[in-house]
Amino acid sequence: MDEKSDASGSRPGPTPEELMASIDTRVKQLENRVATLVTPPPDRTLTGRIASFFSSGFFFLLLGGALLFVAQDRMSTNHAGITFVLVVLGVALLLYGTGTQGMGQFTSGAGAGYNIAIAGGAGVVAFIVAYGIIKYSTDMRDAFQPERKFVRVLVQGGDGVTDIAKYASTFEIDGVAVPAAVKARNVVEVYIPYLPYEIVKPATPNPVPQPALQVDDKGMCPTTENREALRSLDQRATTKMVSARFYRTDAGTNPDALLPRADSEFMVRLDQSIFRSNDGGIDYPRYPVRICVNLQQVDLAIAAVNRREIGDSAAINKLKTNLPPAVIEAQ
Amino acid sequence: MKSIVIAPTLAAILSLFPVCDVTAQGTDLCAAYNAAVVAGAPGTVPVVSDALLTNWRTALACLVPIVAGMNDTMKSGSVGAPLRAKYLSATGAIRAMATKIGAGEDANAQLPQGQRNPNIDTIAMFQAEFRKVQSIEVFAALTTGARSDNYDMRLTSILVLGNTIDERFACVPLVQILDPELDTADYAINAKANLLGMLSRVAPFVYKEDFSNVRSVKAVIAKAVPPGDPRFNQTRLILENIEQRLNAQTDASNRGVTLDGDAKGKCTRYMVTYPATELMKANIKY
Repeated sequence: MDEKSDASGSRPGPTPEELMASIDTRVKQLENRVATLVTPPPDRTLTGRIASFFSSGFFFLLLGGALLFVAQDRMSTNHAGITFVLVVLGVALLLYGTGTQGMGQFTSGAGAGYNIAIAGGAGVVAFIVAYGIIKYSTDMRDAFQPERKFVRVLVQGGDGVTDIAKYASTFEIDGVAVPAAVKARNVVEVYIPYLPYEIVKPATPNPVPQPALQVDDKGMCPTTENREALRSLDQRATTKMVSARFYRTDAGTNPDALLPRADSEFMVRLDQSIFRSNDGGIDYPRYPVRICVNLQQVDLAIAAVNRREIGDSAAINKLKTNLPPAVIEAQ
Repeated sequence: MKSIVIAPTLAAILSLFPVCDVTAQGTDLCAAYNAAVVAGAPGTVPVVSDALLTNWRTALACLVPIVAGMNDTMKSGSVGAPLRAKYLSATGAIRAMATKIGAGEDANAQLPQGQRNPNIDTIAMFQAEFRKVQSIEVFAALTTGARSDNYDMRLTSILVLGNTIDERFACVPLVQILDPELDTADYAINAKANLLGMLSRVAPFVYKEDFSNVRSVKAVIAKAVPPGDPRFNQTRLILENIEQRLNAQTDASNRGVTLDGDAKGKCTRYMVTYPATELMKANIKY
């Protein structure tokens, strides 16, 4: 057995004096090496200066600032998602440019030992931002929206006779004109403006299930599908009444079928659920209930029907003379 | 696709020769009308263009069979969106043609005697042309539309039936007004009022069997009308009107003539296959 081994067989460690002497020796060796080091002179060539600039913190500060400027400058035309990416990237680069600062350190005091260091401020902020994105995603989406937005409402002729293409139309809310555009052959798309405060989240969740509606909303196409769509909307939501005017510009070959001019009204419910929908990436959501306008000359047509009998003159002559006209009125 | 483009052109060319009688049914010419009544986008109702309706005889010969063809899928007052769009489009076109002809006839009648156009199209011509292509199926589909849960369908159906209903097929509104579906539907008051309007229309011209059938059914409906309920004011008015118009018949009119065998057979089959309820069997007899 080795004479330096103790009774258990393990080799005894160095004494404190030996350990300190060893460290002092190593420190002196390092100091000697440092003293012999020569700092390379800075690269004064153009390439060197360029490389130095592009790796400097100042460059990243500029780049981050530029991205934030672009995000702000193009916010009104860019998609909210692009704006969001530009802002996050710009902030991250700014933070990177300011340099990394140790934000915390954890040292294990046992065994082999290990250190964990959160390397820099950018990492910490990125972590906080990631948490914030998840936590406040809905509010962030609203924050990046333009203040005034629109909900798209489809107005159409739904009776097989009304042809909106033969009309010029205007739409307004409380006397203020709202934009509209021809969407298809017999469909006009009206853009109903709204402000964020008009889409108020109910203070309490719907206490009872939505009852079956007894009355259709004014102007909506009276179809089963539309009633289903209407039932899905919150009946407590803010409503807007839209006035429409139609002026016939093309009488066609049958001027007696359609009115020369007609006024109409329809209701739109600003239910927040429709504004959360993702409609193919289009920022302006589509109103799920379709609006129908009836521009037929109904009274004229009914009167014409009631004026004539279906029988020929021979059959009519066989009847008593006091034949009252039929009572036909579309119910 | 070419036929769709060519057919409206052909129709427009033929419209320049109104004396040319085209039997359009079953020909490629109707392809344009078949295409015109099908909605391009979901939720929309197509409008048949004026160009396709210029030659109204051809249009009628194509559109009436389209409506008749929908009868098999129109067994209820509530139908799906695509069928509703097709129905509204086809019947809307027929109604528009009738309106145009009627307005022209009225305007012509208001002219001084010497200035009137003797060759103008009339509603009587329209009715005659309609009868060339009509069938009990067309009236069945139109009557179902007249009692539909959709106002636009009820309106256009009433306007077409008001111009074209054939007293030989009075059985169709008679049977449908006793449909048990109308006992519970929330639109039943309007639906029944429309069907009573059709019975009022044919009342002075119905044949012997239907003369008593209309009276019986009218009594059944009147019995179910709650006295004093203002929602039934129009119903009471029409019921009274039916009685007055039935009473306008004389011994020389159709109430003394039995229904022809063809119509009687079709009506009997229609009621049996509807299917007939006990109430129908008790009040509608052929």
